[in-house]
Amino acid sequence: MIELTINGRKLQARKGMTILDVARENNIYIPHLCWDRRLKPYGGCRLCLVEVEGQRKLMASCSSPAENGMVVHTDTPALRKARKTVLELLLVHHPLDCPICDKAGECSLQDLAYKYGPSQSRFYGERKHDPEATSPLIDRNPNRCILCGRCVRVCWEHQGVGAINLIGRGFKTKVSPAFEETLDCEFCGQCIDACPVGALGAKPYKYRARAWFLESRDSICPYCAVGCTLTLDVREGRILRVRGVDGKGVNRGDLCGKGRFGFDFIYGDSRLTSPLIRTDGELKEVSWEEALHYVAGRLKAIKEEHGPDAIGAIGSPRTTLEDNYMLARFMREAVGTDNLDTSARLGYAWVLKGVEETYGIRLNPVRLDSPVGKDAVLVIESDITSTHPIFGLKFLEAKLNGSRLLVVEPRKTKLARHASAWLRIRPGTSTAFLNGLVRYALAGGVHLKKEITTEGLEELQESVKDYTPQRVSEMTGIAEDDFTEAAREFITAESRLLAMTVSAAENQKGIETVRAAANLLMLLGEGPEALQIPADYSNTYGAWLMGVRPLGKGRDLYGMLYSPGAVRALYVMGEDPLVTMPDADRIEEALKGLDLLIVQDIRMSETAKLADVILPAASWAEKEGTFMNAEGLPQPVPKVVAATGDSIADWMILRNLARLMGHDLGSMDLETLQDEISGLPPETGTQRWRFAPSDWRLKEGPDAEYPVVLVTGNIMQHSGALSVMSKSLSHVLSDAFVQISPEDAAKFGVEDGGFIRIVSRRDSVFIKARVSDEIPEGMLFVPVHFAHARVNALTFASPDGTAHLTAVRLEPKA
Amino acid sequence: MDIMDEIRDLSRKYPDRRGALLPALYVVQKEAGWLSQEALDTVSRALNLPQATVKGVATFYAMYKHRPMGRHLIQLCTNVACMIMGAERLVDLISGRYGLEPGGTTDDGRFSLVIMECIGACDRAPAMLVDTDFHADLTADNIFEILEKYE
Repeated sequence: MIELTINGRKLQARKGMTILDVARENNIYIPHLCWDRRLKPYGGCRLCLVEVEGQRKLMASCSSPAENGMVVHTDTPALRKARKTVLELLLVHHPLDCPICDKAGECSLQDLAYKYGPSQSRFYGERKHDPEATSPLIDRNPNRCILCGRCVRVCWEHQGVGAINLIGRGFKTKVSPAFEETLDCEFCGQCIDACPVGALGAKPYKYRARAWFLESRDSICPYCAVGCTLTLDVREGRILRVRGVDGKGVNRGDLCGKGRFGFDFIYGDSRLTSPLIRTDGELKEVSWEEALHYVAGRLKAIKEEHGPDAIGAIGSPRTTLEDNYMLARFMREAVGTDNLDTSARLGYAWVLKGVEETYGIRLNPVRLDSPVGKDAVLVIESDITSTHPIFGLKFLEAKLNGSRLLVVEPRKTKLARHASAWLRIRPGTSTAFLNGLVRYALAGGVHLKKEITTEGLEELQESVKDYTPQRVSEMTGIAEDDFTEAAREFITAESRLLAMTVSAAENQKGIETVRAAANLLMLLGEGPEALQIPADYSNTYGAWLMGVRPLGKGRDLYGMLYSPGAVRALYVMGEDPLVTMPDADRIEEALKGLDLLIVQDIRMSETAKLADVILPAASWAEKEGTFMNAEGLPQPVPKVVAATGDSIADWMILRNLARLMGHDLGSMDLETLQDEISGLPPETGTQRWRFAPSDWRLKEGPDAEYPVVLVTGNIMQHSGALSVMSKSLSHVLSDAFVQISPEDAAKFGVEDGGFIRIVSRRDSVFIKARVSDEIPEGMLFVPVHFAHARVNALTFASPDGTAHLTAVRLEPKA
Repeated sequence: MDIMDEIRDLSRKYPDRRGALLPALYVVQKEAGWLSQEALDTVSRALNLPQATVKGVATFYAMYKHRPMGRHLIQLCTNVACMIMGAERLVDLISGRYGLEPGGTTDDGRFSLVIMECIGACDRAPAMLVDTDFHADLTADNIFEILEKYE
């Protein structure tokens, strides 16, 4: 323990803390501009200077370690003078355009100049860089830049991107991409929050408001399951921007582009403003009374004629706990059926099933900081920095802190680029890889050294006996040496973690991958906390817990959407199966065969276009509720702005509808609803380990007729079918594309930017090709977000939960 | 040896890939005498570093050139000792004979002239580097004798 004195106070510090760290921990103010909690000390701005008794020079507190017996002063006449001079030097070429600068009122330089210095410098110099105009979302105004380098360091050190740097030296230095080109980065906007002045700003916010007119409210991000806290800045009832505030929320202030810029989906053009009923083939606006009476009447009639099990419902991983809970009650009580499910059936349900079969527990929430501090971190065919960006950052942080990051991935993802070892695996073969690790571990006798369960051990040994390094190498395309080296590293590590994603949007992993991963970890004596598989979206986990799934003999998603004729009426809340789920043609057939399709959504989705009745729901930020993130943490989502048009919260629509069905669900307001939810019995279970052999076999491997495999997924700037409503995110990417390797492009005569026809056993689509060395030969990667491309017409559903990688062939468009 | 391999070999001598950045830049600069966008991209790919990082470092140091240079690079010191010993007169002579201004390149692409800060040869001032050759005790008489050897 280190003891030192700051401003006369005796303080204690831990080894490795800087003077600034100690001061901050004890609420002692030291000004700074270039310091950032997330970054290594830089010592660039010279504002955090302090006096240390016995030292001739003033010391930069951000980069001076606290030492025993130090006597530090943070506010003396000499320091004030030094800081004033430093500010004057910063102001030499900082234009005093505060009246038109969006940062005014929340600008660190402005505040410090007000506190310590003159508002104008004795020195004068002019910089004439043009503001950069062509990049989307991020506004760069190099004239205002004080070259503190925070944006540059956040981008590289913390975010692992390195899109910008300080280019040039001296007076001419400018923050810019390497060749002053238009930004082509992740558009996370972390640089915007890091900028202490007005050199970087959010374009959608430009000239929209003065900082002091904004009212700030905290909410939870509606996109992925990390559940980041967003600070919404509102003016006159409209959200103008989103910020991350240092230290706040599970994200501690970090945000990705979806969270920062994607909030404007609530202002999307496709928002529904009034209930609609289809009459004579046309959707007509009607009142809520008419719509609900119609729905109640039709549902009652179908129930009387065909029984309650002719009706089914699909809940939403994007709506609140309250909404989903009410849907479950509505279906079970007012309708009287167990036909109920969400998109989790196509992904996360298989994770939970796999975990139950192996570890014997029914839930396995992730821990967002779990990668940090592990000796070996293994990522299996998952682009976590795109699907769960802030969770993804923790893998980079782990690597930076000395973890070995082993990335098994066909695509050159961000994690692959930062990996200690990147094993470029053939898509869809990670189960074989994991089985190979199991065999390798068994051959090394790890199961003899650790006390583990023996239940299923013999079957496991039998099932992996053919997965020799040589066979694994043949199956996965990973060189034998690379495989054994990675196997040795992972198996002999002191502590370890295995992470992946299994989601509705992905088709290269399934329950067999989860089983294989759990087998490996159990064999190494690791509990379920070493297996980190996050739920997909903001409330995937919560909707599952609210019982939006068959609890008895009801039909699940496969039984409703992939079995045409199985149900006569379907109630779809906040989901767009035609876009987000595989085998779109089959779903369309099922939907078109319904007697009654009710779609309750915030917008005119592809599925809504087929509906008989459309009910407009209030969106995130327009209603109060709760999201539960992948950690199982319930977080309140406040109502921040007024609802669009006549839309109302999903749970209210269902409550009102239940009354008209003659089933009052009780005097439901949000409070009683939340009381009921918190009274739900917790999912409990004790671990009971047993090995679940998991053979690897692709349902649809490449063959002579369909030689290429198609992998689907989410990309960095989009999330499911929701983000395409956001004008800001669409500004970065709004067109569907397929990524193809340069080798295949040459082989099949595909040009970058040209259109190609992709043909699978089910259907074909026309889509723009992007040639990219991120993709290996023999693979296509296609994002699922863009409805117009209808890529899910190519894919197929896999009711046993195994991977449903799709084999396709290519035809360049003539 | 392929230039990518040369850089990768080099990087093994350093604890991390950033450590190899400065020497790697020398390797590519040696090829064309300056750092083109392609050259920087080569380094970026060989070391798996972002282009911006490579460019940022490259533009910080004066010894990396960002536009084409002549076949031979004259780096003449005009710092205190050399200045007292008449270096500025040498600049004028070079300019007069070859039409070569400091910072410029001759029309025939033979020479580029860069005015250097101290090259640590004050005892034998004035001094210059031509490419990697060191020349000292320069006078109005011997300077062209030396330079004429460089075609």
